[in-house]
Amino acid sequence: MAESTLDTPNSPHVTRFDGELNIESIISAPLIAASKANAIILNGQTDFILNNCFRKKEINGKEIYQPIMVEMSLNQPIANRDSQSAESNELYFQMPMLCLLPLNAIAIDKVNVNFDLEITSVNSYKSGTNLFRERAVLNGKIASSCENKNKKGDVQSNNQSTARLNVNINVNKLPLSKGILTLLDLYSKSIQPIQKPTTEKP
Amino acid sequence: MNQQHIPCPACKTPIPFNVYQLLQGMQFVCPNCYAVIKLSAGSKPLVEDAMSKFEQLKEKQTISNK
Repeated sequence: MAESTLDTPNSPHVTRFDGELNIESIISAPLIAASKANAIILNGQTDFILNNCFRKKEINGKEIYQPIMVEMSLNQPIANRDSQSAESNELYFQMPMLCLLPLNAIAIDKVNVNFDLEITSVNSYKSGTNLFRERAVLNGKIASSCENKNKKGDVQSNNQSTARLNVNINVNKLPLSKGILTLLDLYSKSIQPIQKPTTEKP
Repeated sequence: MNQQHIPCPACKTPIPFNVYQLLQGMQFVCPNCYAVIKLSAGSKPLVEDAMSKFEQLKEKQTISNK
């Protein structure tokens, strides 16, 4: 059986794809890579939000993230009694930075993995459950491009053959997470003016 | 890009806005009460800094996805 990695002094990092592996590992490897890439993207976004939209404070030994507020001005036209002219009333209000930034949850939403798999051996092991007596373990390798092109069915042994794994990743904007949407909703509601209770005159 | 909205502090109607245009000094009008909102001058550097970091993050993600 061919080794999957050649650790010779001349070529220490050359990896050959003619070694057999459990097919579960072969199939899951690109999916795990995509999921790790997704985690890196989302971690970057989370770090950005925490570092730029919040200020970390320590209160009573607890770390608390306080939103960074942005000051905005509001100019409201108020019509005079004669309805012919209007005055403008300038007010200031604060809103969290989080509500201003055009945040998008960018993530990998589709992964297409195409490769030809060649089953090289089949093993089995005793199952611990009563449902199955034995479980099959399929070992295989990614079929090399030379073997794929051979229509006659003859497997050619060619040292220059390459195994091809075609991975198409589609990155898309996903809806914002529930947590962010809840925060945005809470902050948006807090921007709205609160009616002061009327004080009763004695 | 999805349109962003700020609830009007006066009448609660969502005011559509664009943060890049806000930074350029543009004002946005509430479609209901005609209140005008804009970024105050004191907060401009803060938002500019956050937006430049946001752009850097987007660029970094685009490069890592290629």
